[in-house]
Amino acid sequence: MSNRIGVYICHCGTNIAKKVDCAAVARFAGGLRDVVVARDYQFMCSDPGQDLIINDIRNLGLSRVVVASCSPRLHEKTFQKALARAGLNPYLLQHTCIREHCSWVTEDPGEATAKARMLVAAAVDRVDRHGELFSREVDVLPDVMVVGAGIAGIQAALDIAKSGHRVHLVEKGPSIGGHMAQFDKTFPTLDCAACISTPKMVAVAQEPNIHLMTCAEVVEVSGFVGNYQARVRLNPRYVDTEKCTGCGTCLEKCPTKVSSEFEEGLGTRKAIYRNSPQAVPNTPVIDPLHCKKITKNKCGACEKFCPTGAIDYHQVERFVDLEVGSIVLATGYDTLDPTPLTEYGFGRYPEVYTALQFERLNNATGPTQGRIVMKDGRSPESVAVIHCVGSRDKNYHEYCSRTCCMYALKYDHLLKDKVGHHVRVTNFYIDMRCFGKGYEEFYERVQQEGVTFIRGRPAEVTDRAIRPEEEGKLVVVAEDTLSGLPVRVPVDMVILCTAMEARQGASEVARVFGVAQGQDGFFLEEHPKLGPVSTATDGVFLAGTCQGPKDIPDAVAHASGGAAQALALAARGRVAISPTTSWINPEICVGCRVCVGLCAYSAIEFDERRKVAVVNEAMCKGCGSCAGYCPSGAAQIKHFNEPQVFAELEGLLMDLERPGAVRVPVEDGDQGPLPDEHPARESVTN
Amino acid sequence: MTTTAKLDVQDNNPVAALQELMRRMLERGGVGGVLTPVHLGRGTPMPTLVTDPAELALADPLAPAFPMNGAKMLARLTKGHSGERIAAVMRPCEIRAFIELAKLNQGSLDNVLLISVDCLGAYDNTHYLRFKGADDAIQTTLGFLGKVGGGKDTARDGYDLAGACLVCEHPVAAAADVSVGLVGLDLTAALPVMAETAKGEALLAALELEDWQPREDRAEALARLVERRTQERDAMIERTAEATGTLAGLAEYLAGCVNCLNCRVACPVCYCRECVFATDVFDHKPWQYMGWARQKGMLKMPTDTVFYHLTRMAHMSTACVGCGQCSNACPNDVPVMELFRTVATRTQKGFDYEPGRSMDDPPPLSVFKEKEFEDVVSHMA
Repeated sequence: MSNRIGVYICHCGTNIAKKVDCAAVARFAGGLRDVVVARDYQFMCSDPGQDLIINDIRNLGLSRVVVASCSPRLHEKTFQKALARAGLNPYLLQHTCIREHCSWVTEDPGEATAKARMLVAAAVDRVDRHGELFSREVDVLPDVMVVGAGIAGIQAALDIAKSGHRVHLVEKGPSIGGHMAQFDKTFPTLDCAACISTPKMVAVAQEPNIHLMTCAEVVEVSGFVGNYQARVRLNPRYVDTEKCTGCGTCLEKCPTKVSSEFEEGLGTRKAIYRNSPQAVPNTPVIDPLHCKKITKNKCGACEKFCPTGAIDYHQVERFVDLEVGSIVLATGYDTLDPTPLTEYGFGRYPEVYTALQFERLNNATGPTQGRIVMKDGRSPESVAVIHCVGSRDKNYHEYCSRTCCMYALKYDHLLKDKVGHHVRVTNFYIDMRCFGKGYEEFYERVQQEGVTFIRGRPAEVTDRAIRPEEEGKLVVVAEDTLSGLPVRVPVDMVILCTAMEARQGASEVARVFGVAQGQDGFFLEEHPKLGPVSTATDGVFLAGTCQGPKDIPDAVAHASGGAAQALALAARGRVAISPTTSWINPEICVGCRVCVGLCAYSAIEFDERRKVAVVNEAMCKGCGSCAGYCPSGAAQIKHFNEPQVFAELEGLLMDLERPGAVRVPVEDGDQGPLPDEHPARESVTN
Repeated sequence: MTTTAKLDVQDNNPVAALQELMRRMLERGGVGGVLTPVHLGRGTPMPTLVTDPAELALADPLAPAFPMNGAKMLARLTKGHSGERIAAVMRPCEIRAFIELAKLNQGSLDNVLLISVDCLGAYDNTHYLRFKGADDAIQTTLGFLGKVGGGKDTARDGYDLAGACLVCEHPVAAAADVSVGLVGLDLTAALPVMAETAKGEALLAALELEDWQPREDRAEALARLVERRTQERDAMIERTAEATGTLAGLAEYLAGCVNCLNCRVACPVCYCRECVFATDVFDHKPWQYMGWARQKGMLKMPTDTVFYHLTRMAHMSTACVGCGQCSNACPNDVPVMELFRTVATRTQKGFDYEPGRSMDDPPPLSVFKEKEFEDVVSHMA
């Protein structure tokens, strides 16, 4: 028996109707084969709009439904649920997009209407080939893994742990806290970063539901939403965390000094070290590349002096296997290395600092014990702060790093506060972006403190003096774009507000966890507005700056969002698996195994006994890589199989002036009315 | 340094010399069977698995006939465990196609020795039988070969080699374990048997042939042959591209296609158990035919013939070894080989891929590359 298809054309207010003649499209659809009713309506997604569909299914006995409206990404689920409420399988719907794909991108109303008719014809042809599909549910493991223990990872782990679920918190470095542990004050309230972050770090260490692993990296993830298996490599610390009391004797006795990463190269650390006195865990770590005992089998001072015998030079890497229901990625950001921007002289002039270096200069545990001094020990009399270094710059990062304006204002204030009001501070900015709560007020306050703002990106920082007052200074050369005049500002110190960028190893992390990266290298969220913490991989969520530049409040809020998503899964304990997955027909599969290698989700295994490839439906995302390759069509995506896609193509290619598949009476039971000028259209207005 | 052994030719009969080579493989080469063409029936040399050396009397790897590409037969003999090692004495295009099948797990190199014989080309099926007439099959081969291997290609007794052979730039197979040289050599004296792999070295050692330093005539003659055929190929591609450059031109080119799928059956690299074009995906309803006809006012029956060839090219053109069996199998003389080679030359160049060269080259569509065809996709980078 033929299908009985209902077609519903949405005006979307004026979003679609302004360009597309919706009534004409409905008239056209009414003349297509097997269509028994075609209507247009102002808002199909509204309750009365959905009721139209539900009533038609019940009263007219519809077996298939086409909705032409916005993108299926927005409302496919809405209409699928409407079908389900009327007793039809939700997959008997075809949702076609005549807004994003049509009215919004077409100037001429005639063309837009013609395109809408094509899309509707394609949907009608396609829906004819749809079949019923059924979701199934699987259990969700209760534990959650959080990767990265900066402020975002810490927040996510604490939120999840508070609910009673166990969290495995994996940190690559020897201690937690991330970049925030390097900062001194935080904008706009000027709280001390350590004062607000160390309580959280200590809470992590003391929370019985958090299993903290430092010097640890996730090397392999398999499984699927609710059932992930992760392998974590524990790199040797060479210090037994159980025995170490954190007394610090080893730090004093170690004779080997190395430039400190935590101090951004401004200070030194020992070959056995911890980042700060407040480090969590407090256990030091041995740097095996510089430890004389490990590299040359000499020294051994730390072992000799350790009162508890905690030093173990023979530790080797170990692996831990975890089973978790979901994963929160909080792997953070890197700061741009400004060396390639040679015009700013970083690395050439000693008094040019990166933002993180300046944070360390301010920090009480930093190389100068928090005194802002130059390399010669003098306090700077004049400082230039250059904004947007590597941000909003086509040659580096086109995006805005979102934090620099505010931390630049913080530096302005700290300079005035610590060095004295006489210090001349000049900002070179493009735009001041002070959008957060209390940020504009802070900008106002700093302006009143007598800081100079020059609108213009500097051309260079140079030590070539052309005036007497420039002798012995660094000269920032720029154009003040508000006055249109060139300026030369001689200063003692230059601070570069370096961009936040995706981590160096982000692509490898993306591969391990099966998430995508955006053009800027940050991990790609599921939807820029409505899905900012979820990813295309179900059960893998994002927290903090691994998704894009954020300040601390935003990173913390984002992390709580990621934690909530992970908890939503864990709390319900069951998750529905989409049925639109691949299926490989074992009768047709010839066992070439190309699909096994192509599957980005490791969802296909080879059955050696039957010599055929088999899809694990729980891991399959229905992306179609296998089906796209499989020459015999053994691999097919349910809901996107060959007959369905070919039928859709055929509808698209239809000559609208001479539609091929018009309604004609046929012997296989088509009981619909005969074609007349407006065969099956009922216009509904409200 | 590869070992070269000397295969003596007795009575001016290189076919008999190759039979002797195969006899030695069976008797002392540790080989359970040899897959090679044997003249059966009216003298058409069919791929035959010979286990008894006595059955080698009509074996003829040099016959200028090519009724089928033996790659799929060798795939059947090597897919799964046989427990016994076999040798295949075949044309380069058969070995190259077999390599492609092995990459797709349709055959295995584990228990097989690949013996490639320099290819001097072959007639198509009907021309071969006319050329042979009522003569003895082996004598026909010897008549075709003449004294010097590959002296000339065409118009022997008025019969041209098959089109595919005339434009084939692969008279040797790079992936063989052992090669037997013919091109540019005196076929009445001795033939060089060259080990190309460790497996080949071991086989040669077992065969107890005399080591040999032949004169260097072959390399130069091969280079000339490849150059000549490449020129022919490029001219053929130009003609075919001209004729098929538009959809209308392509439809006309393929107008004679009857959807018999013979070319797909004959194709050595088309490896599906069931061709998608033989499934119900292409079972259309009567009203659909009427609809399509109404769109243009007419509809060629059977339908989907252009689609079929386009699909086959999309699936298999990177693996096409140019053996020409598709044209050989066509009942309506559609020049399928010319079309395939024209497209395949471009797709293979696009992926910098030479089918059948090495097991180390993955089929282009089986791997992702982060940077590929950036001129096409750079807007997405």
